[in-house]
Amino acid sequence: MKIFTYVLFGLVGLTTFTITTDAEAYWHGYRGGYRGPGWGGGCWRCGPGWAGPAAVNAGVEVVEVSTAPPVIVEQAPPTVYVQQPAPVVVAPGPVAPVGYSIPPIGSTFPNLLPGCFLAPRNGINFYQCQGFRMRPLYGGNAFYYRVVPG
Amino acid sequence: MQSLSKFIAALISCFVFSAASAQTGSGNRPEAPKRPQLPKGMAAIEPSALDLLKAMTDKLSLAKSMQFEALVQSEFPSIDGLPVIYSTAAKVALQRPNKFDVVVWGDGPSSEVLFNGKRLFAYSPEKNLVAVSDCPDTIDEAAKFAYDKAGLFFPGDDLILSNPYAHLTQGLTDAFIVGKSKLVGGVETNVIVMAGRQLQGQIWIGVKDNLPYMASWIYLGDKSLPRTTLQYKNWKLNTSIPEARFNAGRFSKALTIEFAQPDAPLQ
Repeated sequence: MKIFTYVLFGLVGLTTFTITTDAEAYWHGYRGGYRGPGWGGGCWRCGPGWAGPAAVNAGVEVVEVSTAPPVIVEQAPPTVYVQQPAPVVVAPGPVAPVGYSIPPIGSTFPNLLPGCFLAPRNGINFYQCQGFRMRPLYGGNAFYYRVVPG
Repeated sequence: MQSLSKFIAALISCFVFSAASAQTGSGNRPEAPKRPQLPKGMAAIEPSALDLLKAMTDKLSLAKSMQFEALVQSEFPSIDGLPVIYSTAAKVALQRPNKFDVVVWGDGPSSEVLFNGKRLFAYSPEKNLVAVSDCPDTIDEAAKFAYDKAGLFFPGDDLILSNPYAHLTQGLTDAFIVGKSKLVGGVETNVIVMAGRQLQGQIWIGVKDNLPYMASWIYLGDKSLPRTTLQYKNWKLNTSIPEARFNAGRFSKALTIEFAQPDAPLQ
């Protein structure tokens, strides 16, 4: 019991003193001399054609909107890159599920999918695609298109 | 009496653990391999290295205007786990107290980031999109706003701040002079090694002009330990920059969009 008490106190001390402010964190991901490849998006062979929404787990089944067979988009585990946005594919281009499936809400694409057209609503620019809408945005040093409700 | 001794023992225990942990937190760069014992008299941070860094950052922070170009080579792992190097170039222009413009091109889409003192713009010539947001009115605050709002950063963004020395030395655990080189930037440079908890690398500073000509950083917080190398050239300090460079009118025909981190909830 005595040993347990000492260990407990020790751990409390350990916790107390090892909590660093990490104030230098911004020296690293944040302006760490600039870090790529978030220069505007793009990497070759760096992952799936689209990045799924945070709430959707790997191996997402996309929603079917036609009589075509359902399509399973296998989503590789996201690349963990500290303080770096998820990579997006510039070439060979996204694996677009257009024509037979709807990507999950929140999915992002580096390029506008074929067949989408500009359809502003309430002063916000959206693109209307086949059964879903995409919103162009800028973040993580790249332009991208996010699938949004509606 | 027994409880008093227990209390004292606990305090001692607490102190021992705390001292050990404090040592770990400040000196041994948790993300980096443990530093070997340095020979007696050798400092982890050499004041002479900091002097060179200070001379460089003083020169940059005192400049009323600044223009330079950067060639950036960044490693990013492929799906195979192999590091792939991507190259981009950037032209940076800064006018104190509250304007900067950065044009980026290379492996990947081109883009331009403009802060005109009031608003922040990110423009894609290929997509003809421009993200626009009201923005704090200083360069430091605008750079931070850009990062917080959209994860936006750019080559040289650590050099254009009002106090780049404080920025570069925060969290520093190691700094020393390697020597001189005549092979970087076409000038003679002092080569300095710097390291912090999550970042370590080198910077090449001109012997005569105190300007940075190259920097190379390894990101220790990432398992793949990616390296980014930046070469700076064509420095112009305190020269006149045409006002048109900071005029957002050239984006007027682009489709206006908003800044948003890819994983941030939309309003």
